[in-house]
Amino acid sequence: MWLIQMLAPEQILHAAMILSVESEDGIDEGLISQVQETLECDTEDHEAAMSHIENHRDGGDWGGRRDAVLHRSRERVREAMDNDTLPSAGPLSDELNALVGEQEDGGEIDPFAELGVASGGAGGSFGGNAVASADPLSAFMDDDDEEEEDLVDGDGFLAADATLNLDGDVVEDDVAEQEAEEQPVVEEVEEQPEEEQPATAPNVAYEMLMSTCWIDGILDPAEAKLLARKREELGITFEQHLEMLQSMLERSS
Amino acid sequence: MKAENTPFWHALELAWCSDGALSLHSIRLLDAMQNMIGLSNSDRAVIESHFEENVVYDLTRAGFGCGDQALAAWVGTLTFLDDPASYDVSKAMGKAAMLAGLSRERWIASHSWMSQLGLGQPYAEGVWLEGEEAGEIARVPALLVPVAKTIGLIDQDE
Repeated sequence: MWLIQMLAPEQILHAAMILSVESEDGIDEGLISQVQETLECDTEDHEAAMSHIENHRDGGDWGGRRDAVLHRSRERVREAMDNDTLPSAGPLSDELNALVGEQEDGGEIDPFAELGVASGGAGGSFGGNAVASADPLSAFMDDDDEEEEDLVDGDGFLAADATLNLDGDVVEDDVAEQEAEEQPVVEEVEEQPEEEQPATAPNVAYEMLMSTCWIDGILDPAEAKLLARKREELGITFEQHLEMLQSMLERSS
Repeated sequence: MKAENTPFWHALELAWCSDGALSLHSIRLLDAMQNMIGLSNSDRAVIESHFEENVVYDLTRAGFGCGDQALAAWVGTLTFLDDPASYDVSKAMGKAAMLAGLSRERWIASHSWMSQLGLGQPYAEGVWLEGEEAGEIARVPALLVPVAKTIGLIDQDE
């Protein structure tokens, strides 16, 4: 049984509007009108969503959380299409697929999750206990990410565990509801045991991740930060990191 | 360690390349530098032989080794290694290099350079954001100017 709490229509509308606003051609009011109509959202919903976007868009930077915001929006639209809140076939579906596909994550898959590496630290979870941090962007987030999440989620549009009162109030779900939301995700994993992969040694997985850090020719802060976090989570010392790095560079030279 | 990405290689360039000759004074300065940075004889031999093959053989002598002046000034900057701040400065430089965008080639070259000075560890920590947050680098010490140019923190023309 699928127990995940359904998104509120206005949250889905908001997600679609974000994706449309951030698309190459800017917001497509025709498409948004169709989404609004399908979701049976009224003008106030539309205005509230647009107001939220205008207040938080920050010129497209979304307070430094652009990738996370777009990722979450895509997830919401996809989820709405999956549970038929939005059509999964037909012209509107095609347009939404194009919208979601246009800003595809570009393979933002956590390689550790893919490799089934079990994390020893509390900061993340991979492989078997993977679900709580299934968002691959979480690996790039700082310790103050919860505050950043609040920036995005504060109005409820992007909050998975809050519902929006369109008067502007955010009504937090109670603990039981949160637990209910978390539970089915575990079930989802349990229903797909065939997708589980054998665990990979953390060192091997770390080295594979490290080998990608210069894939674009430049080491950037996000990559360095990700690796630092993974070292901590996997219990890899900095000396081991340098040794692995050196051997990797020697092999590739 | 790549021979050409080391402070000792830079010292050889200073000693030789102004006029294609090496003075006795420069030889003594190179010996002093070897001792100051704890460079082994075998490592020095590798660097010097590589330098001879790739640089010296192509030089044309035009003087009597007046590069010793620049070399003396350079060797003088090695006192930075005794500065208690050298660790933090190196770490800050590593972070600055990473923020500026560090290619693999630049990492190899700069880490090789810093390692020969015994500063490879803090530099690496700064680049890879290990340990406590590195501070900002206010001014690049003279000793590290060549490597700062390599990683793009200072313009080559400066």
